[in-house]
This record gives sequence, C-alpha cells and structure tokens, in this order.
Amino acid sequence: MKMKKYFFILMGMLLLTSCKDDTGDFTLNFKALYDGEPLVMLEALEYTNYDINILESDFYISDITLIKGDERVELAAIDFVDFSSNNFSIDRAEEGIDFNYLEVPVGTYDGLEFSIGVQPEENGMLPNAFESNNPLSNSGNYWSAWDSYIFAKLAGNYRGDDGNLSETWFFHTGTDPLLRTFTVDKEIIIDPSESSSVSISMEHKVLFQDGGDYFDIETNSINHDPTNLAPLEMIVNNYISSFTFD
Amino acid sequence: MTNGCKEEPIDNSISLTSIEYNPTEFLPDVPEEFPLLEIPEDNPLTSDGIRLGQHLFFDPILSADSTMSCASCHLPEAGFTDQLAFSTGIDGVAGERSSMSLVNSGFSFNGLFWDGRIQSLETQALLPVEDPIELHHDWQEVIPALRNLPLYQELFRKAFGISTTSEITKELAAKAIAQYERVLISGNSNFDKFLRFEYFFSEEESNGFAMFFDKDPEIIDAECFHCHSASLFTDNSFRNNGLDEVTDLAEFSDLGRGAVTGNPLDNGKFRVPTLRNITLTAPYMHDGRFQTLEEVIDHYDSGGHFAPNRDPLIYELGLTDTEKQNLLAFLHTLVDTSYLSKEYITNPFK
Repeated sequence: MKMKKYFFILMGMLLLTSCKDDTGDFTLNFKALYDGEPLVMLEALEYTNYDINILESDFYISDITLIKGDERVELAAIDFVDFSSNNFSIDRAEEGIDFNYLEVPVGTYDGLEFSIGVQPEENGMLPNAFESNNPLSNSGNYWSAWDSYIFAKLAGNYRGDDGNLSETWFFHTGTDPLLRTFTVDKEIIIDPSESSSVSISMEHKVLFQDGGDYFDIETNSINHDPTNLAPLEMIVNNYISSFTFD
Repeated sequence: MTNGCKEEPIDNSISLTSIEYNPTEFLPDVPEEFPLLEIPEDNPLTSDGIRLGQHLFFDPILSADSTMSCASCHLPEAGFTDQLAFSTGIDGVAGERSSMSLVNSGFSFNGLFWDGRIQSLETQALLPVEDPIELHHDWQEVIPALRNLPLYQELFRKAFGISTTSEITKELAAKAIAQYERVLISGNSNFDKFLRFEYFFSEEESNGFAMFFDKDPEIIDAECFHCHSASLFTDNSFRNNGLDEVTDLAEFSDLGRGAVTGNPLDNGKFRVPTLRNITLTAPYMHDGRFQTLEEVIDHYDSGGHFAPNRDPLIYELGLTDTEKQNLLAFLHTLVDTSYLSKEYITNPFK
C-alpha cells in the first residue's frame, strides 16, 4: 500500500516536472516616452512653438503572437496598454507596464507580432459580448457611431491664450482600416529555467509627425469625424514608427 | 470572586429543519443589449434569497432606533435614490455625498460608491448598518434580533438552508441583500422600446438621441456617449467632469477616486452614474450641486471648470437652446418605472 502511494507521488512529480520543462514565462513590457524621456502624465512638454501635456494615452493590442517560421503561438487575443492610469510618476513611467504570459511553449522564436487596435472579428462585436475581465467589455471604449472600438486614445491640453495648459486636444482612432501591425524582429528564447522579456518603448512625439514637421495640435485639436480619417491615419501609421524594442 | 463553577454557554439556537428548503434558481430578466450579469459562485440567485434580501432591504430593524432601512436612502420610486444632495442617517448627520442609484448595480464591475472603494455588492451590503452616519447600528445586535423573529427564521432557512438560528449571520444577510440588489434591473424605458421597434422617437427625442450618440455628422456631437455609454448609460469609469476649478490636483476638497487609489491623477474623479431614470434622481452629481437637468446640460455645454485632469471630452460645446431641449427630451426617454410593478422588488411590508 505504502509503495503504491510513493509510486503515485513520484509519477505526479515527474508529470509536473515534464510540464514545466515544456513551457516558460514571457513578459512584454511597454514604456511611454516623450522626446526620449519617460512620459509622466500632465507634465509640460515642449512641442513645436508651444507646450502640451498628455493626460491620456492608451490603446488595445491584439493577436499578440510569437513567431517561429510558419508557426504562430498566440500569447493573448487582446490586452490594453493603459499609460493613462500607470504613468502618474517618474518611477511608474520608468517601470512601464508588464504583461505576463505564462506557460508559453519553449523554443527559440524569430520574433513577436501584435496589432494596435482590435481584430476585425472582435471589432464587429459589442462590449456586452465579453466578460467583465476582458478589456473589450469596456463600453467606454466602444464607438457606436463608428461601429468600432476606439483602438487608441490620445488626449491632453495645450497652452492656451491664458498661458496655461488649459485647452483640450484629443484624438481617438478606430475602425478596421486603421488597424496596424507591429513586428518585433528579434530572437526570443522561451526557456523553462528563466523568464524572458521584450521591452517596447513608445516615443509619443513621433505620433504627431507629419512628413518632416509636426501636426498642428492647436488648429486641429479634436478629431471625431469619421469622414475625415486622414489625420487619424497619420497617427496610426506613426504608432508603428514610435515603437522601439530591446 | 467567582464561585468556581464555569458557566456553560447557553444554546439558544432553534432548529429550523422543519421548514422546507427548496431553493429555486432565479433567472433575471436581463435585456439582450445589457452586459453579462456575472453572479458570484458562492451567492447564486434564488427566489428565496432575493425574497430575504428584499425584506432586509426594507426593514428598519437594521437601524439602531428602528427608524431607517436601506430603502430610506434608496427609494424605489426615486430610481433607488433619496433625491437629496446628502443623505442623512438616523442621528440626523448628513453624509458627504449623495446616495447613488442602485438600478443596474449588478453590472457595476469596477467598484461601487462614487469612489469605487468597494468591489462587490456582498461587501457593500455589510457597511451601512454600522456606519455612524447611516443606520448606526451594530451587527452583533442586529443578528440576535433577526434570529429571534419567526419571519427571518423562515426566510433565512428558505434562502440558505441553514439548520439552526445560530447559523444566521451578517454575511448571509449581506448575501441576501446583494441578491436583491442584483435583480434591480431597469431596461424597459422608451429608449429600450425604441431599440425593440416598440416606440418611435419624437423629432426632439430623435435629434437628442443623435446628439447623445454622435449618430449624425450633420448634428452636433454632445459627447455624452463616451462616458454614459449604452446600454447601461455608464461605462463604470471614474472621471473629472469639470465640477471644480483647481490648478493643482491636491486642491480638490473631495479627492474622490484619488483617495482610494492614491493616484493623484484620480483626484477629483467620481464614478460616472447611470442616466437611466435620471429624471427621477435629482439633485445631480456626487454632491447634488445641480437641481435640474437643465443645469447639468448647461454645465457640460460650458465645458465646466478647468482642472489639469479634467476629462478631455469636457469642453465648450456651444449648444443652442433647441439643441439643449432635444438632449433633455432624449434623457426623458430613459425613464423606466416598470420594475415598480414587480413583486420581488417592491416593499414587502406594505
């Protein structure tokens, strides 16, 4: 009887060990920068010939996938990068936001891919289709007039006539044509003995690049017009160039 | 000096096993457009659980002087508010914020109260009984009183299958109240009927609807839907909607959400309340500063007062009087009092 008991304990331990050997943990970290410095919400930022601050910067990432040749290992279908809540101090800004993916199949991957925004299938669904722990359940991030989630929100203030950072600017992106995909072209090793990670820095000033110049926030401070996608297209394309990784 | 004899605790508990326990799952009538109603595994909805919660909700036995119940500050006919800027407890002491509507509170997944300090209805239901500015009682006194009453002996037995009165606890009482609150579902307004093609908007209501939801590029966007998103007419978020002018985030007289999270960016932010039954729940805002919906609309039209974390969606809109009237007409379509005819919701002592 005792032998039988030990046999089962041994088998259980072997099973656990073998499971652990097959998988490892991976962390994807996002940091927000402005002009190369950690971005702290509401701090005055030198823009062009006027100052701005940033109060909101958040966006969905979807189809977060490790790539190995033709093989794709999905880490998560959707996540929400919320600098708006996170970056209230320099420490938090330097730390960034971690997404931890557990029990990822071991291996050497060619890179990582994710989209900025929501995949068309989920974007065709309403927030009430998702459980409350799913970022897509947030009805405040759904725009019924566009039949789309708001993929990314950027907002803040610019210096007004009173000399204060008191005038509002905001840009919301969304709709299927504005989904963009970013690839981290870097070898990623998933090892059971140690957690691996990729850190992505997002340079916010790049988001407003318009050709060789910067978009004039002061004269185009709000964009809510679904028929005028040009400025938003510029911003979503800039998301791709705003990312660097290590 | 004691006499040396150890006193045996007196077992006053009464067996309840003669009372039938036959729980029936309660399936709430959740409108199709609503989010999923997530029910805790350890507190499933049953008809008897809701019935117990309903009795506790309306029973002044929960207050120290037996004059107030939960319903005193959450009147069903007032959209489950008390229509006061600041609710007053049994000692006549006013609270610091107005009572929030409990309608559709089962869908509040981002914290309860104006500052979101409590996560679940079960936890929330424990608090008002002992709050000195609310019912100012003590659960240690409430529970023996409940155990002694045949009505509650039966209701607790039927709700939770307990075997003796000693098993009646504040945790079970809170669970029952939470069950009751979870079924306070309002989703049968003219707006809902419009979605079901059972009601047609007037021109005013239709224009207000377009303004509210930014449905028509030809009609001004009032930016309402971002925070008061359908179908709950709240996104359950916390925002600074420009009520108070401050230049420093530490200056807010009521820190609101910031006092809970410790994040200075949350200072002066409050929960976005539902607009369902909004015409029944004046005065408005966490401190009841606006007496009418007209004042509320004027506030948003003005862009509110500056604070560094004022929500970016609060800016000067420039609405005409007609546009304001249209918006008001639409808000009136969100009234639904049909739940007042549901037996499991109304005062069981009447």
